Amino acid sequence: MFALGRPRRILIPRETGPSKRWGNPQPGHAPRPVRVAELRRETADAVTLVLEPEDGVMPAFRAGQYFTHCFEIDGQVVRRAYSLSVPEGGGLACTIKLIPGGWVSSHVHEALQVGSRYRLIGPTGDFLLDEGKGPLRFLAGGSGITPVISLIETALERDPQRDIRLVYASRSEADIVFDQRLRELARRHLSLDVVHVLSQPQDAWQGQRGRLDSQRIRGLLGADPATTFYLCGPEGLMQLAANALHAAGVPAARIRQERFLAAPNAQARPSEPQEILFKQSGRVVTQRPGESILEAGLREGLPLPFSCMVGGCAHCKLQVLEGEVALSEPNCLSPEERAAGFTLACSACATGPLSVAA
Amino acid sequence: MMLDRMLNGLPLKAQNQIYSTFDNLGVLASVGNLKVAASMAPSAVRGLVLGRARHGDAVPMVSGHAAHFDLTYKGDFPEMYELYRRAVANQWNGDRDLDWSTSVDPEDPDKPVMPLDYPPFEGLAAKGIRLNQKEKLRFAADMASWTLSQFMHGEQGALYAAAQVTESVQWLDGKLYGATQVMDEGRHLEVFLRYLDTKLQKVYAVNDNLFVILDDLLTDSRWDVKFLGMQIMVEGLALGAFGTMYNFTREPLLKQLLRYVIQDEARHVHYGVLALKAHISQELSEAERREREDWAYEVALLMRNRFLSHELYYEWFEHKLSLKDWDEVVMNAPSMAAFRHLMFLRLIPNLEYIGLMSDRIKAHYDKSGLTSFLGGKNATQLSGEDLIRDIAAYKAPQ
Repeated sequence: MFALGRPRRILIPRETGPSKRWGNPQPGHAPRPVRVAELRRETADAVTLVLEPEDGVMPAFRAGQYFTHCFEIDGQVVRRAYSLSVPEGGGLACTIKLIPGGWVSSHVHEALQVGSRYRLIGPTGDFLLDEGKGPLRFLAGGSGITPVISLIETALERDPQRDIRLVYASRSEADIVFDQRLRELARRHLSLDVVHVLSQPQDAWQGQRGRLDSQRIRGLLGADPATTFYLCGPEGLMQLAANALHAAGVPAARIRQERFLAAPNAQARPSEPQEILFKQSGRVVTQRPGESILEAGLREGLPLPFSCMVGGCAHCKLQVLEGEVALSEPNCLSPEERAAGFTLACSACATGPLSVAA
Repeated sequence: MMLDRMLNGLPLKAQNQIYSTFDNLGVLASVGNLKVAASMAPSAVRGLVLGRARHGDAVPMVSGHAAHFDLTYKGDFPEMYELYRRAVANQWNGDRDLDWSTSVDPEDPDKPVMPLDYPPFEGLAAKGIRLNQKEKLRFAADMASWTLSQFMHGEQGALYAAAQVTESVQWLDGKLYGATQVMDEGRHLEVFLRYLDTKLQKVYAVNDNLFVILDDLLTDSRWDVKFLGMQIMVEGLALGAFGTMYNFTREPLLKQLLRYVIQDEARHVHYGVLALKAHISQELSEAERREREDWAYEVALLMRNRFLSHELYYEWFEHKLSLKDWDEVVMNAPSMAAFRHLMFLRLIPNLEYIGLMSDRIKAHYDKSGLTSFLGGKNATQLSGEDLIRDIAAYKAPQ
């Protein structure tokens, strides 16, 4: 009758392990409809799109992540990945820089207006905040500031005294994106130090000027092994900085990089259906005209991994065993991966019967 | 002192049995108000003496409350309707909006679910128990599983309480709102269970003292006591506990999960505060009001003093340390101080706002060192984002 004599139950047994119904989670790929709620001009060639989800449910994202934006331009759906430029829980907004001659960025700057509707896939990306308490050092170049400001604001919301330095390379004073926002942040947080480096400043510019080289980068970012370093900007600048930090003894795990690839040139896709054998599951899927390997596989319910869907992250990388594919370029595959027969399921389509190791 | 002398020299197991019995009796004896003690006694007997939560697959909890069926659909409560609209608009989807593909290793020192500054290692060391680094990581992971398991059990109770309250509340706008809270609690139960099941893969049984409070609320027939208990007291407890975990954890999936849950909880407390302020000021006699005031005070003390992770003690230290020493270590841990701070930071201003903080009871709260929280912001003045900001700004004493 009394509980004292009974053995005490401490754990609840789950004999068969985790419930099967939770399944094998994949990042969501169903596009979410959004509406442009505000267009905010940041500089002469950078604009912030403030977005509202059409279903009223704000998608969860983590600072530093990006969405793949699916715009409809001239009757075609075109995808581009853009980082969020707001802190976690701070709404939904991304900042897009006009690229001279850029098809999609011109569409954003010229055709989009308040009330325009399109779709988002994601969020995704692993350029994420270090959840520890150690110092953070950021190097941003040009529009590379977008995920960086999201990370900095989130870090300071969590710990208003966190030791943070941002080195931000721009062409001139007028090209500094979020200038006012950064000043305000630095005013409110003494632990945040913002260093602007301008390559073509006005004569009156009092701050740092000229191009960044390895020595300057090391001097500005330091090489403390307990610090986490974030690099985001043009490829050359990131490579230079990563090499400088490696040479100074910073462990690779402490250096986080986010790459922006140039827009891919879509390959012409076959106008006939093609059969693809996914070797691992033994399933044969018919790729419809216009589909990528990934789209065909997902349509048939195959659990294929993927993330950005624009050839920028390699989450969907798979090996071609037999047959030919057409792959949109440029993309993030390394020469070694290409030599080993890998392709990107999101950016490639079968041009004849195909067999893949997935 | 007398208990200390009695225990002295006995084997640990016998010491624990005697201490535990006296301690359980002490729960009721500590309730200063006899009427309150009498109302809690059946639940305390079921939970602490009979140990009903420690065996079997389920426990029936019978309540005598009545469903209030509205025949005229007349009464408007605009603030409550506004909360209902906000709740409908902000429903999140636990499957879609959380990144379940995140890989979680509870013993990963870089992204710990429960960092090593949370468990009371210093207090344990002072009692002669020293764990090596590997054991510390494993203990911290178990503490995370225990804490999240209790959150999950609390959410199951909240699900039924929200359903009962939805039946018995007299405002139609309250019923509409209540329906969204039922959904919220169901979703919270889902995400905590999924996290425990797939990420930590260890689920602890419900703590006896938590069981007593849930049993008491679910079996009380008075709707306003159910309401006060669930919407103000247990939700306040939840905010303290979730907020502490949110602050300590470095695991991103859990952090995001807790953020969503805390934002929902902010609405739940807001609803409770609106309903009870109207009810207490318009419907209750002074004697009834005083009884609710005493009840809230006693439950607040129980919540402050009773969540001492005994399941972890029995799993880890039963043969090395007395239960009494364990209780002392846990009560004095900095993480417990953080939990108590965040709980009372919200609870006390809410009790003040709904009219359960007369000068008479203030003297009791003062004796318990809790009046410093008076005059703080109540739930009607705080959004979910405000709560998250206040929680993040709080630094536990070192």
